[in-house]
Amino acid sequence: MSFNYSQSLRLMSDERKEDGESFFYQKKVRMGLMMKKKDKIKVLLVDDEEEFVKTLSERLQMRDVDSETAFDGEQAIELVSEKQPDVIVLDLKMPGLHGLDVLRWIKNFHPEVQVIIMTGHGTEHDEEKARELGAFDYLKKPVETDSLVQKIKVAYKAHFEDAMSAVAFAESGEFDTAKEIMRGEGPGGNDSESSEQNKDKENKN
Amino acid sequence: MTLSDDLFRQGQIAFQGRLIADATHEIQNHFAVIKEYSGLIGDLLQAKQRVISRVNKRCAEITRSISERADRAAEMVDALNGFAHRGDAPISRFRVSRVTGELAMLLQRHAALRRVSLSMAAGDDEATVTNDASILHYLLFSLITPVLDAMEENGSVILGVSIEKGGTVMINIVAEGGKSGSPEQGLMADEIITMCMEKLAARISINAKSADLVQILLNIPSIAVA
Repeated sequence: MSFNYSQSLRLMSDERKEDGESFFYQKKVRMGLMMKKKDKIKVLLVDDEEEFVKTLSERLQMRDVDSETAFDGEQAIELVSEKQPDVIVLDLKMPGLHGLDVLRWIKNFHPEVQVIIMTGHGTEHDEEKARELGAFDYLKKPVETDSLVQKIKVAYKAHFEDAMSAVAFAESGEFDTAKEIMRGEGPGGNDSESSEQNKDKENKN
Repeated sequence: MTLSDDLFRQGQIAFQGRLIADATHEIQNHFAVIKEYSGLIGDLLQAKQRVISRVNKRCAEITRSISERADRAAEMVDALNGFAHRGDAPISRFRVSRVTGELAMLLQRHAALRRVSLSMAAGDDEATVTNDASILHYLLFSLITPVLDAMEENGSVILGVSIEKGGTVMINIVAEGGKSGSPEQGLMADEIITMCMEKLAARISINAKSADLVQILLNIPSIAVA
């Protein structure tokens, strides 16, 4: 990736305060329109224990959850932008980037994505920090797969309702930008443009 | 000697806690994999009516992986058990390769997080000494962790045990793929290492063979039982 991780991991600058809200609002509307069309929840599983994460992915797929895997934080960051998952299940202690740094990055650049922390080694301090950074839930391994699917569904529901409220607002047609998005003409009017626009934003930071 | 016995002891307890935390995390990982595989067998068997040949093939792969994971978890627990018992008696007769191997096993998580390989070379498994095995663990931990921390990704650290002429038992640590500014100066000045060496009556030599290759030789003698 072209941007510097340590730079991008910093909290977003004043730029976000100025135009970030509208940027994320537009993104949320587009996300909501996409969600209306699809039938499966898209999950990204991030854990350095490859066999664990591959097996879990296989089991989630048997439960009609569309899952991708990443084996470290850097790979997770690349896949979040590329695959645009609805929910991320994230380990904390991994080689390279720590899970909390990945969570911070996700919440800065993709705040609409729900993140469930699932770790075998978390401390109370880690849990507090994760929730402070915006983690949807904090689970300690081992977790029953059916319980995890339930948690994922609850996280997705929160994500879905949030996106739908943005769509409803856009459908009211009060603002020009929203009208453009609904017509598929606005900034990042289709999914690929949306992804490109987000990448530009990441590069700037 | 400037470090007090109390501080030395506190440091030793802290190192034991760190190793146990890392090792239990690794054991939890093995069990998490075992649990997922076992769950997957259940899922596949429920679906067997539809895809019987695929299920058979996948079940064979899974049972093999379960067996491998259980073996690795058992090895880890065995090393942890040995590690916990090394403090039972201050001085005992022990196999140096066994004590070194225990530490290598318990440091696997630390090495993996740095994407460095840590392994034992084949050597003189029968080399024994009478000394304090718990302090030897502490010394090896104090030497190996800064070496691991100073490695580039994909570097390797290999531990070996040999019996030299005259029956001297040596532990050989070879680190290949270190970052520039490798840690040998720091190791020589480390008070914990100095105090461990004194308690074990051991001798150490650290040689930087090239920019990224460091060899540490430890001579571990037998000491008289009081």
